[in-house]
Amino acid sequence: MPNLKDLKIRIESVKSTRKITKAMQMVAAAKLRKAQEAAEEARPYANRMTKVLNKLAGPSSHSSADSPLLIGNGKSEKYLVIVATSERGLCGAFNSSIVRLAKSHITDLLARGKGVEILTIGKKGREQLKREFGDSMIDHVDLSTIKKMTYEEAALISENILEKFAKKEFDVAIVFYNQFESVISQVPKAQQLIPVEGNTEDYTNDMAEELSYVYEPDEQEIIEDLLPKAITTKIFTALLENGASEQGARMSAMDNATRNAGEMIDKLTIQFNRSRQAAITNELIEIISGAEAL
Amino acid sequence: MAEDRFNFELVTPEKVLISGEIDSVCIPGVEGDMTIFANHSALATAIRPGYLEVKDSGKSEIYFLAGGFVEISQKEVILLAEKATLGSEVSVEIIAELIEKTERSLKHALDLQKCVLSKKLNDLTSIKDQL
Repeated sequence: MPNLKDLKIRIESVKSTRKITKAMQMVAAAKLRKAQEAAEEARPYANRMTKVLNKLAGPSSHSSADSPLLIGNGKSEKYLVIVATSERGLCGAFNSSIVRLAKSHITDLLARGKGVEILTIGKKGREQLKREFGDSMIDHVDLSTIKKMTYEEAALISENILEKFAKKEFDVAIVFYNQFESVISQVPKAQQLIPVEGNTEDYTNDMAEELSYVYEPDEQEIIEDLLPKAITTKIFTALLENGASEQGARMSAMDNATRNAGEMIDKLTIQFNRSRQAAITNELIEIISGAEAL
Repeated sequence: MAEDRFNFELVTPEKVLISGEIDSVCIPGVEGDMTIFANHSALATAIRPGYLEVKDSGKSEIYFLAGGFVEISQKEVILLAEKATLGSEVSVEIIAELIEKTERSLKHALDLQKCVLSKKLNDLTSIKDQL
């Protein structure tokens, strides 16, 4: 049995750990609110953008829609995998769940004989992917200096990606990130960036309305103008969702840690009390038996 | 005079800047400025860098837009702007930065985008000169 002093030191150390995790939890909670707000405020733009694109790129539109960004460059041999993770750890399974999803996709692509290049956003993802796919990693975006995610930051990333696409370095781009559902649930998601995926779900509703629009200058030109923006918006949304997810994951991880620390303190305190009692009893026995011997 | 007003939304990637009923709005469309009143026919146009003027009950607000897209229907006008700055806060530095950015993306743009971008560059330069 550890002696009293050791136990006391351990209890103190767990207590200070609890203080730290508690503080981290509170910080994460405050940041989460901000991140969530940012993600929510960005939603109207993203929704409108998708809607407009669907109208323009929908099957009935008059544009010939031959932009490579929209329909791809006809090949699907080389893939660019963009893995968005966080800069900091201590946020539960947040990073590993994205990396796991990305890894399974990459392995699948490699098995089908496709070329894979990896672009990582955030330090944690790079660290985890480096060991297995170090050779395929072509670029890394450092977010550590960025306090608040802005559209401009997303624009820089998307510009970099578009430049690579223009140089025909890849055919298809997929981004991996965590979709923020709630504080306790973040769902890793894969979304195709290039070619831009139009979803045809709510297409029928817009059809009647769409026919009456006059386009200025013309649909083709508008689409060329909008596509890069749509891609930037997608990256921006992914990064914002990721930001909110990171804080949410950290908050619940730290909440768990704080609770565990509390339990540990209770257990150690009981052990400490027992040992102390045992020591006292021992001493008493010694004194009594000493007295009896007299 | 409720029927003379219409719903206008100015949406940027970061937040919804304006959302509410207004009297009229002047939009810098790629094919020229246009002022929209209520009951305008359906129109969708790209936006060139320029000034947006929102008029409501005698007051007017001016925003600088770096580009975007506007969708006009009978009941509402929705403007998607990449970046909107209050007219009073526009400075030569902001425009210069935009010019630099546009030049950079022009370098690797695909053919069709090139013409859009070079138009944009022209507009930006003329705005900069005016300041």
